[in-house]
Amino acid sequence: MRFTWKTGDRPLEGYTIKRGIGQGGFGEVYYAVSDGGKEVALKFLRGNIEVELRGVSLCLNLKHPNLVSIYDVRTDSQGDHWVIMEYIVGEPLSAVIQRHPTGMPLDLVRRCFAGLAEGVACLHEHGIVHRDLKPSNIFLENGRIKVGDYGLSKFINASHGDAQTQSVGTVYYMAPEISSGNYNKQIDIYAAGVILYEMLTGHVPFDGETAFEILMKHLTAVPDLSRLPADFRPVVARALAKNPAHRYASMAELARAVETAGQPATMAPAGTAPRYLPPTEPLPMVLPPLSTATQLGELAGSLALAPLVIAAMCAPVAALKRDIGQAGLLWIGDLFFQTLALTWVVLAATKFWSSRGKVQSLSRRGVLAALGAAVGLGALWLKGWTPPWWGDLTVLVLGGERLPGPTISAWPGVTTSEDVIGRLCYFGLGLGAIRWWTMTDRHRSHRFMVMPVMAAGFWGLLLLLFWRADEAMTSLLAFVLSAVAVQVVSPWEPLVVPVRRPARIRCV
Amino acid sequence: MTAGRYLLWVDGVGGFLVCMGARITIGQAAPEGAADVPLYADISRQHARLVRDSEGYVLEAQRPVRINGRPVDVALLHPGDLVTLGTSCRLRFSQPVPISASARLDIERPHRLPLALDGVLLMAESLVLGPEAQVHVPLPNALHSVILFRDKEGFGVRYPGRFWIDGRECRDRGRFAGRASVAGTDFSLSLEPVEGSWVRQPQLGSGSRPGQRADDSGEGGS
Repeated sequence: MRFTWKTGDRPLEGYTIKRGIGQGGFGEVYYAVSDGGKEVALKFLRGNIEVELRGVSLCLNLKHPNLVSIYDVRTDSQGDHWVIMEYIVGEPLSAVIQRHPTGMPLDLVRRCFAGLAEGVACLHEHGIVHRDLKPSNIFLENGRIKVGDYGLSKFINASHGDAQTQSVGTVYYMAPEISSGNYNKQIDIYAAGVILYEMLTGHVPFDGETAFEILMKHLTAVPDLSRLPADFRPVVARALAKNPAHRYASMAELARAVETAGQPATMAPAGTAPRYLPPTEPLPMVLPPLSTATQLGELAGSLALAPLVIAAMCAPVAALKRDIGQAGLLWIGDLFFQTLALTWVVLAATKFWSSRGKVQSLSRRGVLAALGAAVGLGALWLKGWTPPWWGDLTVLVLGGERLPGPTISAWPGVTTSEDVIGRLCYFGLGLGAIRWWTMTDRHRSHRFMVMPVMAAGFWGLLLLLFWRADEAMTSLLAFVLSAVAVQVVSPWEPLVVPVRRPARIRCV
Repeated sequence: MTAGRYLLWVDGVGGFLVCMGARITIGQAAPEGAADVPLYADISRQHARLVRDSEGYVLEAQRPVRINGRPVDVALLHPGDLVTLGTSCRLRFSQPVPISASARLDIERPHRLPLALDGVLLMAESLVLGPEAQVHVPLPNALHSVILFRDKEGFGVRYPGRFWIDGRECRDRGRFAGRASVAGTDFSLSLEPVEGSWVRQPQLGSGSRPGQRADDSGEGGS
């Protein structure tokens, strides 16, 4: 942890820095003492942060025993801003939770939650949404809860925000509707529900490897209530409802429910306490489904864009081949058509699935494998090979002359049945092995992901075991190029993620 | 030979009062008070003495003192002992590093020192700051322990690898007089002497006087 200022520095007239306390999304926090001897926490906000300061100024004169007081906002000679706050002699709630890995004692939970609820309710009464409630922002000082860091939270409603810059610590407490950008004080009630769950069990309800994974769980996963004491299950379930309209209407209402949960008195007359929300209720979809027309329009756009993208990728490949004779041109053509066929097949199939809710991974793979075999067949047909039953089929379908397969003498003939089977296996298994639908997912983590492209290359190489021919290298390349093309032409819409301004640290 | 008292500020961890003397006094914080460890508590200005000798730490009561609830006049302290001054001011005595004669006093809330400090360190030869369990001051994010030891000029620092004392690069070992900022890639701390009396009358309008003030207990801010 490196801090800009050190013991004895006086960046702000009238205050002497003693030590750094911590660093957060907005800047650094210091313990400092005024010339008169008053202890304060100084929050250093560097640069131009007018928007954040407007939030603080709204909170400057709030007074509540459960809120960390903000004394003043000042600007130093460098133009940097400082928020002067009450210094808390105590520990953050996160430390208390850490000390109780299997959950805090129930009476302590009730006491802490009551203070937390009162502080947040005070903010709500003044029309302020905290937006960043989490145990590390909540302090326990001589048995009293103090809620801090309010008024500074500023969500940049970034449709291009990426989950990377979001610290995971914040994502744990983020209500699902935040991704839609349309939210109100209900997000604080959700966060309080997460904190309640964490105080009772020692764990957050939704955990994961990445911020994105956790966000997805907030959107879709059902919290595991079985770890909670039975009396708290309906309370937490309601606080964590995906649909804000199903949550408690106010902090006070949630606080009352927590207070009475598990007290003998609540075993109580049915009807007095609102019994809510069996977790079996279908979860409201937070992401609105797209209309069929939009889907078809997008698909048409992707399909039309694909040849251009692929041609653009084939061009440099062609340039690399020096002797671009007729054979070379044919090879490029071969590569282009194979890539295009693969890309179209993947786009069409995955678009179809995206409109149908849940489809098992195995059946997806099966369908893709069949389509892959069909592409292989098509490639063979282009090269002048016809299956033995082709003539009969055309007679059957067209009822007339036997149609010959296209015969282009320039294509190198493909004859051996080994070659035919190898090719069909290659395309079939190649399409079936890779999870192509992750590449076209409109909410994929990045517009372009490198891993699937590498996976395509890996499987392409591995499948060379089945089909050893010079042309296989062309198909391998076609797999890799389609993995790129599919991602480039598929629409991408990141889940809206609030992004905090990254802390910039001055080097001294 | 260093004597007197220092404030040790560890970024992200806390602040500590470091007492170098072998004999220290504990008493109420007051403008004219002369106690080495001044406390905001309902106790006498000279309430007790703590003496380090070859046996260990001996507590000499000048006013009512109990150890683990038992009234005492003179007693040898053992790690984990709870010392009660007067009726309610409680201090926990510990010697977290078995091979070191240095000790630590933690003051139970709501009593405190004049500044927000987390404890009092009675420094014998050295102090250990580090990520392990048996240290005088925890440094949860550090990779290695930092050893602070007495040096003829003032203090010495031992830390495996590169670190900086007031911006001057050191490797494995460094030294400084009474006041310095010491930083590695994974820790930063400052040491400053306590000057004069603890509870100085506020010098209103006198402007900047860094490092004048002393101490107390805690952690926090937001």
